[in-house]
Amino acid sequence: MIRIPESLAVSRLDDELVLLDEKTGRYFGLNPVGSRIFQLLKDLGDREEVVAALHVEYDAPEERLRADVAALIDTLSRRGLIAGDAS
Amino acid sequence: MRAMLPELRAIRRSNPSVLIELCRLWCILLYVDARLGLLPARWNRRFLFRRGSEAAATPGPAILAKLARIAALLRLATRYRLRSGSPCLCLALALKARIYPLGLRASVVYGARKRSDISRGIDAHAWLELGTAKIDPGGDLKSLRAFTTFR
Repeated sequence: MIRIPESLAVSRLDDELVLLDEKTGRYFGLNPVGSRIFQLLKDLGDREEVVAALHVEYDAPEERLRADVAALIDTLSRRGLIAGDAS
Repeated sequence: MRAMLPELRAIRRSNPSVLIELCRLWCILLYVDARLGLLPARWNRRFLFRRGSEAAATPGPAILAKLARIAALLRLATRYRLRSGSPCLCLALALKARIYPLGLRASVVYGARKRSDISRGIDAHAWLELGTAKIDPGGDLKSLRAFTTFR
């Protein structure tokens, strides 16, 4: 189960998300697709469910979506912006 | 660090009370950094980020001038900060903590804006609001107008 740390403040800027890590004072911006994946991760908490939801929304192969989600999860978890199961 | 020591000696010679204020601000920065790094976010939200009153009176020119002086010293104290990383949030929290005993209950505000250049990145910043006054210990007040704020 993936979860968002409580030290993370999230705000929307047009179609993008801005994440503020209150522990470090660092800000991160997500592009529109990254923002959508982050929102789904926050709501669903499971990478396979996120891939399935994206497959409905985007006309892209499931393997490609799975790779994109895995890459974003990897980046976010390295920066401490998500916690929990990131396998 | 060694290059900055003459700066401190000059301050000490000119006005010891300024040096005392600088030391106080450095200690507050240390306290804020330690809290942010060590304590759970919900504890920090409750005490460090505690919002000021919505109906807080906007301070007069004399108070604003005093706040500007404290903010300038805070920027100087930041040079001796032990922790690396983005200082604007830490500066805003430290200034909020410093002015709390003066009866000034400011709120920390975060803002973000898209860059207009080709990088298409995002600029983000943190500052204080006291009534209608914006107090930016970390930078240029005029640039804050372009920020979309979130609290």
